[in-house]
Amino acid sequence: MTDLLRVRDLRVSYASRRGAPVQAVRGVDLTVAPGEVVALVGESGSGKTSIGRAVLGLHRRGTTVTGSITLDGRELVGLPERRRAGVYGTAVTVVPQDPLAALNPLHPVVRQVSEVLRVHGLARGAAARDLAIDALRLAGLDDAEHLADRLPHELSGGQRQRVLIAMAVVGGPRLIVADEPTSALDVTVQRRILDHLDALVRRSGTSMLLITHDLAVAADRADRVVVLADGAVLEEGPARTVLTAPTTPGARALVAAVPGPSSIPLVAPVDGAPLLTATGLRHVYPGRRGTPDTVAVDGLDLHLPAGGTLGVVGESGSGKTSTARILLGLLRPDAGTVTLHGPDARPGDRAFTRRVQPVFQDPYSSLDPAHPVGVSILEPWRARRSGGRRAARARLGEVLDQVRLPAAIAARRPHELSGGQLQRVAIARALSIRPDLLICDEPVSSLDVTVQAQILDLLADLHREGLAYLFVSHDLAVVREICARVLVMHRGRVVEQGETVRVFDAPEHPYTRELVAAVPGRAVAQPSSRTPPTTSARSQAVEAAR
Amino acid sequence: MTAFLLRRVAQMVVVLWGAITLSFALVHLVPGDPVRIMLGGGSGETAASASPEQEAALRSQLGLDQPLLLQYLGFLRRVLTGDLGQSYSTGQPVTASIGAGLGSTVQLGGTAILAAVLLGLLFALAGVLLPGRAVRSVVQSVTVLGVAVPSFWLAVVLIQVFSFTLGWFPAFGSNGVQSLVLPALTLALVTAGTIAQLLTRGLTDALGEPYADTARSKGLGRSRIVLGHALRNASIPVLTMVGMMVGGILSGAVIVETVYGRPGIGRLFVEGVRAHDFPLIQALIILTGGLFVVVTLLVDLAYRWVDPRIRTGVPA
Repeated sequence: MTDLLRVRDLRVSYASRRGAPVQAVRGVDLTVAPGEVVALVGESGSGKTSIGRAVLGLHRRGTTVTGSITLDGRELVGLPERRRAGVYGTAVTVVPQDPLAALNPLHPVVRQVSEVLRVHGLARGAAARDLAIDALRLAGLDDAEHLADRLPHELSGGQRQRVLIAMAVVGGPRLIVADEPTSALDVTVQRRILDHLDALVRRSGTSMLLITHDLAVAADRADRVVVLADGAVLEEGPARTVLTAPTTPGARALVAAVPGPSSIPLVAPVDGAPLLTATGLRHVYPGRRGTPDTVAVDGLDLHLPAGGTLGVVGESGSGKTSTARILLGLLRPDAGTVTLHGPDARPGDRAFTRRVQPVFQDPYSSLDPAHPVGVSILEPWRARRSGGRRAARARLGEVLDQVRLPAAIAARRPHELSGGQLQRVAIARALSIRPDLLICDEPVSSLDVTVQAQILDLLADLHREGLAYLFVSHDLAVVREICARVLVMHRGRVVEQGETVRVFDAPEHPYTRELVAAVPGRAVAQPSSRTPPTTSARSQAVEAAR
Repeated sequence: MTAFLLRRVAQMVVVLWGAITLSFALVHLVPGDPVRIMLGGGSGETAASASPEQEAALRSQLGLDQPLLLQYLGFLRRVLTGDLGQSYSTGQPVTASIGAGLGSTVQLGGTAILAAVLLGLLFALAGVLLPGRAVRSVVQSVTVLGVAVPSFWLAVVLIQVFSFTLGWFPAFGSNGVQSLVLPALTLALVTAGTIAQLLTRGLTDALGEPYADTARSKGLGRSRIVLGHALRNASIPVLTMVGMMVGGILSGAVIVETVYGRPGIGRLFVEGVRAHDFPLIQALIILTGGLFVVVTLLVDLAYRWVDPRIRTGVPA
């Protein structure tokens, strides 16, 4: 069987403002056979997206692509502009990452799908529209006829992704490049969409290059996996082999960092005195003209003991972030009370914020870009006038040490730090006034898996030092690792709660069951080789690989 | 849509009422006695030389001898019935003076806006579509010049080149289309530069958006991406700009009509201010307010046409 896509010695470099160009891809070889699904996995900066963009011929000014990319023997590197139409949109198509941004916000979706047919002269007018609606239906958009004339913002995330899939299949492609096709979606939606894409591709014998940071997704969906690091291939082979028995240290670290669906928690339940109690919380977002009200949180009770760890899981719109904001005093509940015990305080009190601190999802936008991070870290501390300059310096040193950052980092500004460093800075800021409780809203979802593992280890260590945290996340595997108890939210209500391992291993509520079943990674889940429950061992493996 | 229009018309009425009230207040806010100012400035004599009878006559003609509230209500009533009083300097009803100048200014402003939009569009598209990065850079730089040059200087240069040297267009007057070219161009070039800049920026940004990548992955060529996807997205901020231009055109008309010796609203403004002709200035303020209100409504309607998200509800 000859290969459909053949990439030979591909190099991609980006001109940088100062100094030498940045080498994003350094000599990658890669093949995709007809009908084969190949996953490109790696962390940010590994070059996986650059390879995808090179295959799609999407390079911006200042990008140099050398080497060879052939599709059915036809060279795509340096393809002249006027020849592009013969390849892209029909033979090679894309399912892009961010379903909202990837659609033109001003055109009805059906027009964006039928555009493929019109551009390539495959159909026009009403015929193009009919074919586009067929493609939308094929992509799993129920009620395609009705939704066809909607604008992208009127559809849900899952529906938008189906529009993009329709766009990718409508021209009858040989190869689909799927670049993180579902990372912006909820896990149950992700599963349905990947199932659907899988089925479509297998049925039509189309090849797929699946670009993902999510090893579990790669394991479930790909025939072959190519692991990338620093722009080069680290390891490649059948999905099962690479992801269960990686041979190179780098791939091993990557695999070890992924919290598996059946890993052992890093934290144990505690039976402390009550720390935070919430009863009957309710919050309604009033609907705007014509749209009904949204009940975000609907009668929620919550209890967290001193030094305890509680996960709040659910999909978008389940009310988990609203809950976190109510607990932080950032959102006023329409009903219900939040009490911080001994000495009692309520959200909004000064005594409350001294003991309860937030860690948000995006550390970059939650830090003032104009301030050196040291200033940001000490801001809560200074706001309470806790001491003089010398005391401030001492405190800064302590918290940086606590989050395992070098002292020199305090003088840098946010844009000079990596995502993992920034999230440590955000945690250091929260810790600066020695709170009893951290409320973390998706604190690791924007981070790479190895960085995520380090932050999770850090939180588990802080817990061992007596800190309590409430951890809001859509990622069940992450919550399983670092939360002893969990609360599953669905449409503003708690549908199930209990010890994390019990809830995830033997879910009682149908929604929890659906959520647990949708977690990717079943294909390589191996209870025997799972992460040891000591944090340092894993961090060492990760560090050793660097 | 009907609800939207009704709401907007209600807003227009409020804004217009504000403009009317402001123009009424103008007479009372000016330091000194408006009657004395008008008598002094209008005839070129000093106020002292006007007889007390003259003063009293003007005062009662303007209604300034009545209580303030009555004056205000009377003013409102007269404005609503279309009676804006008589110009003090010419003795004609101000509506007649304005009516005479309005046509010429509307012609000038309309041509200028049209020219600015077309030129802006042309340069912006050339700036992203022409082959060769060097060529595109040159086109984009030229637009900076358009923004930087002051309109009175530009007017003088245009007259010098196209009228005195080449003799293509008349330098002064308002006879026919020929005489419209230079003044309209003078008014248009500055705005055209701004539009081109804004649009170029918008187009470049749009081309960097993921949906432009999607379009490229569909096999679309650059011009189809620009015209079919980027242009409409990039025109949204330009619309706001065009709305604000109307104000610029009116103040620009003051200069341009003076330099080119054209009759019009701009000239009237200058003359009115020079002659301390309060009724005329008041009428011009109300007219300007009315123009703004109408243009704002048109721009808002255009928004709904360009950006269907506004029609269909809350943006995501």
